[in-house]
Amino acid sequence: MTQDIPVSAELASKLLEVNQNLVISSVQAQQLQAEAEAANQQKNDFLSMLAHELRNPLAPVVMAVEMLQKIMSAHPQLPRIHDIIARQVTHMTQLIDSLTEASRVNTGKITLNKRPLLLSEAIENAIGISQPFIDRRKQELIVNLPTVPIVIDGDLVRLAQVFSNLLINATKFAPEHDRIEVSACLLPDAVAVSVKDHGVGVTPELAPFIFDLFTQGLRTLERSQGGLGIGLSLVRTLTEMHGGAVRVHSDGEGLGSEFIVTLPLSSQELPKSGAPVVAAAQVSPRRILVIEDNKDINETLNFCLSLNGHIVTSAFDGQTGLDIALGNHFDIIFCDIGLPGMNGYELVKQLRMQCANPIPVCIAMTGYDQPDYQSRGLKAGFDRYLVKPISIDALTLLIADLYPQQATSASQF
Amino acid sequence: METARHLSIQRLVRPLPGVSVADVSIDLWLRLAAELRLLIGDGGFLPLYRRSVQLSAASFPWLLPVSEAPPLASGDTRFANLKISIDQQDAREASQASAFLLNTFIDTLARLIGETLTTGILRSAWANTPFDPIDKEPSS
Repeated sequence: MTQDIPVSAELASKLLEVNQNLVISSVQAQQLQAEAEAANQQKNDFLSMLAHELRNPLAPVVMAVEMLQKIMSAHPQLPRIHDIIARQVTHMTQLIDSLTEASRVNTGKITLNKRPLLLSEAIENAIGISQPFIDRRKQELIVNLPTVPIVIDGDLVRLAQVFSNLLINATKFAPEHDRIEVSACLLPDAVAVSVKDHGVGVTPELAPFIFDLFTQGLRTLERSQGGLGIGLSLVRTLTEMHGGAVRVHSDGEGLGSEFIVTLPLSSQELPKSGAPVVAAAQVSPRRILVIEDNKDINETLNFCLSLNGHIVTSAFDGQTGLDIALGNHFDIIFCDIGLPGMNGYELVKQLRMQCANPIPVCIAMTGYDQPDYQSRGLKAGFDRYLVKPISIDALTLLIADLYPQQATSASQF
Repeated sequence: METARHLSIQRLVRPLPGVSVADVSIDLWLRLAAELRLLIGDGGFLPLYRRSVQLSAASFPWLLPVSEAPPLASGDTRFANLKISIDQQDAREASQASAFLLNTFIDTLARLIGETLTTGILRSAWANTPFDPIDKEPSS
């Protein structure tokens, strides 16, 4: 039974005003949210573009450093100069990779190749990645894992990234000569992995935001390794993509930090398979066409491939590249995507339509490291897709992989 | 997802021979605004309407923003730009935009005050129209 409650005109007027204000607030909140999302999208687009633009000039520098290594005996100062450039280029590459990763995280473009794997495998890989950072700061790493094999479902590369990011983070914020500890504890359906340091710690004010993108922790005076505040954000995203969680514990400033990653245990058994054997690259000379409008990248690529004995032709725009490709026989074409005149997608499409000779292996080279670009490249007709900066060793391995143990064809020309 | 309410609104503003989509649409808006005046006041209605026009303009870029415009015959200026915009389109486009705008507004309203109250308001505002938001089983 309902009872009618008399509403005075004054009360009705107040309710109307309340409703009106609630609606206005709600609409304003929606508007602000939309503006924040638009700004976020703009930031993501900028990050993606920035990473791409920075990759391009870095590519020839990476190759030039590798070339420098081959002529170390030319001057007594060369090894020292080479090491300086190599170190800084590696650092720059890592920063650009971080930017690309941040962009991927924000746009949900990270995919996992999950399989049952040993936790120890992921941690060993992470230690392999982090060891140079630990050594540089003369720190000691103590690893304490359960003796029983712990199987989790995961992407080995991405899980190694989770733990290496935490380890590298610990090296940055812990003092030199200090101790970093990695341990794991088995829970009923999960495993908790702890990465603990005795460094600058995390203040209670910072703790809730420590995993947010571009958040920076407390800085030490001696800290020389910069960062963009991307690593811990990646840790959280990747951990959550594995069905896990990450949290931080610190007793306060100067009292160290402990990051705890919890991951669900796998219900599957570990597949019995041997590790793939990587054969040493045995590269036989090939006829190669390089189509790249960046003169420095084109010339260094041409030079490096020529040094390896290949016969290399260069083209600097799409139409010329297509004409040369159609009028000659090549084994491999390395082709940039953003070319003047005709882009790489169109070029490879035209080549496949018009080429009377056997179609060469077409390899796309681009600064855009995103899965949709890759699938578009493969759909257009590229056989492989490489992201700049491309190392000569990677190219050598790729060519060896394409032509394993075969007689040379270039020598026949 | 399209509900019975969405479909019913689409039917209300569908193009019919000899009937102006803009006139039908403005009539529905005037009735709705009058009904909502008792609940959220003109001060609550206007930002909600303005935001709905803004959102709809992403799909129908020709929709003019809500602004001061010459008054309609009814003396209401809020929907003057809507009438100008719709009048310039062909009947099909005008119908789709009108339904989109109404549904955008009403979806937002329903999220604020709940589906039941929204349906009650619409029934009251659009009495004597074929508006029927009840999902019916397909007739055999």
